[in-house]
Amino acid sequence: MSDQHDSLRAALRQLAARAQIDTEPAPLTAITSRGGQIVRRRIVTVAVAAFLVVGGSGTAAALLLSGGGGNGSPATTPSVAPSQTSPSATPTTPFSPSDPASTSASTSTSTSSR
Amino acid sequence: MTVEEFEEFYLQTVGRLVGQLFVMIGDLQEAQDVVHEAFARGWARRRQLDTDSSPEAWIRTVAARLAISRWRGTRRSIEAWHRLGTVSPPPTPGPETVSLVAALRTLSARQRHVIALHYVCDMSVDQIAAETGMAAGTVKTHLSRGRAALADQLTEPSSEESVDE
Repeated sequence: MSDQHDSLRAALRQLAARAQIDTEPAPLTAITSRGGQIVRRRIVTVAVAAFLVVGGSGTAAALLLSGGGGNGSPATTPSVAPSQTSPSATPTTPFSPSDPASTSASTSTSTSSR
Repeated sequence: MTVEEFEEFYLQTVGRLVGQLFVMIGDLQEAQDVVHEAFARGWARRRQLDTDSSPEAWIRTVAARLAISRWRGTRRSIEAWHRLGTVSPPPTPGPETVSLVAALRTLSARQRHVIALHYVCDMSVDQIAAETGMAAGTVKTHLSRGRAALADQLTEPSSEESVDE
């Protein structure tokens, strides 16, 4: 079993070594220029994302502020309607607590109603 | 990582990484492309590469992921290398290479990945699990099944007879 592993290991390493010999690595300038492309693309992506976030949130805030103020106040100002029974300055029948007839009458009507 | 450090790192590791990726992928041209692209991405974030414990492992992981995403149809970054015209096509492989590569191609992508990391990069099961993000048990399973499949593919009839005897 171990021999089989060793032979497999040797064969795979030989395969990798042969590929290593056959390969022609790209010059470093090609790597760096491609890396520069990736950096520039990333910067553009971040800038566009930031623009969208700032622009979108600004638009949303503007919409909220303009729409929110209009909804907060009523469409028409409520007018003060005059009361049907406005109180007079002087009472028509002054209340007299010392009148026993009126007191008993009111008591009897309240008990009879119960 | 400074420009000089990156240059040194690139020159020291690019050939080895292409060899490892070739075992994982089974196509030398593709292995070159994904390793170059991984190095370009490493260049774009070379300051972070400095803090990484193993930049070579980072490049290998990125290249392996690129290979997988290439199969899923992401060819844009690879085609950029061909537009640059810096990569020459690799030479035609010999018959032994062809048979081994054909055997490797019968394995699943994960099995090839695990087999290459174990046998070519000399990594333990735990190290493979850490690099690939798989569970150790999954790594063991892939390793065992991949090994068995390769043994089936590569065993000659004469040696099978000798084992039976």
